[in-house]
Amino acid sequence: MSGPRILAIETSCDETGIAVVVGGRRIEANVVASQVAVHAATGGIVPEVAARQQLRWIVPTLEAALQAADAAWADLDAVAVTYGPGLIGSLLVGVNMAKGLAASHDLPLVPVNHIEGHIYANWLTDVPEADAPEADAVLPPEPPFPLLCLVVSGGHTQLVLMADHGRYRLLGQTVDDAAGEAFDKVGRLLGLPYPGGPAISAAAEGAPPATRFPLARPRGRYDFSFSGLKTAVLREVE
Amino acid sequence: MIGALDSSSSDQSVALADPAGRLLDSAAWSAERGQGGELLPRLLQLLDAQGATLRDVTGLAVGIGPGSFTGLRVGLALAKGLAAGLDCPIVGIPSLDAWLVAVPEADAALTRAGASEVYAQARDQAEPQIVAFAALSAAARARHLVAPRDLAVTLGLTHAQPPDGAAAAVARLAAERFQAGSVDDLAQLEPVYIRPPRGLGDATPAPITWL
Ligand SMILES: [Zn+2]
Repeated sequence: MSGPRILAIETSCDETGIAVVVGGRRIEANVVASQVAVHAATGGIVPEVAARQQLRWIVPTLEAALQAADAAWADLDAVAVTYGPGLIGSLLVGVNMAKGLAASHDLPLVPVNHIEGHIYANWLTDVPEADAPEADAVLPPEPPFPLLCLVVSGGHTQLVLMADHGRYRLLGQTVDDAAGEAFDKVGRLLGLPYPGGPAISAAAEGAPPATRFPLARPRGRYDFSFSGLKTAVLREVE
Repeated sequence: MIGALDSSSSDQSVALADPAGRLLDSAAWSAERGQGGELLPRLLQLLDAQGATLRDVTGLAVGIGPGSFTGLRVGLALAKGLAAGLDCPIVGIPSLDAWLVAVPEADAALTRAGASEVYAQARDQAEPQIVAFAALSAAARARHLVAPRDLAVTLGLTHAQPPDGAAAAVARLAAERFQAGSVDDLAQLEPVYIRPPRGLGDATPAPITWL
């Protein structure tokens, strides 16, 4: 398939991610250096630790991504980078790396909102071109508008209505913790390792259904709330 | 041509030097809160004035601190991006070494280490040490020092000069390293943090996982 070949950098939190994507859809490379083991030791992300690791691993991640995509600089049309929201120290590493790369090759630099990045992951496919000579025909169809997008991550829980590309309406979001934060906090209450999500999931595997916890639904909007759930688990643990 | 920068404090600078380390041009300014948004535009301005572009840069030289974690992060990430993009070698120079080269009359270099301490390096010392504001005597404050403007005001330093020539000195010291073939590993080059991150204690970070 055709379209611009973009080098994309994501360092908003504790993962160093660099990808090469063609036409906004086909992934040619996607390399992620995860710091999960680093932060497991402290039971959560220490921002200064995350930022230092970003600076340490960004060049190896870049080299691995360019190699996986078999891309030379002359093949790239732009550099894109997550500019926020996220951890400021981590973000600065990706943004400044991207500036240096774009400037040295006279490529356009495209700043991308972190949440938009999550949403647009839904357009991506990793069908290799070699397996799909008429790639456009075999690529999964694009999601049709209007779209309802649920963004759930360690730092965000948002419900977004998309009328078209770039046209968003925030229908609701968490009024306290993000879903991932709730998992981490509950995991800590239960004495489970960081990150909480996978640990709770593994612990729940095969366990008999036990306690049903309430999930608060703030009225009037499509908002979420997870702090009540955390408190309920705390009471149960005590 | 060597491109150099030092963003380890609120007084930041960029410079261009020839391969022998002779200064071609430089610029210095005070940045708010150690941010480094002006580094790249200022470097491009210097190149433009020389009728050159980034493609003429054959080596990157960067001050590696100690100093502001944010400033160092910005400077090193930018320098790494430029060196990776230009496929040129990079050399990291301890910032206070460069400051003392930039101000030959100074007895010591001082830079901020958080809210109430400084990294201090006397001319006869090889490594900076952490000193509390309160531990700096009136006599020490009155000596001939290199220190960022905001720190000089905070501490009432009477004979301090700002590190405006830092990048020029970084370029000069780096030229010797380039000529000796003693360049740094682009991936592994890191700031001189001195302090472990708050919250980590003495633990060594676990390795990363490739996903
Ligand atoms: Zn995210």
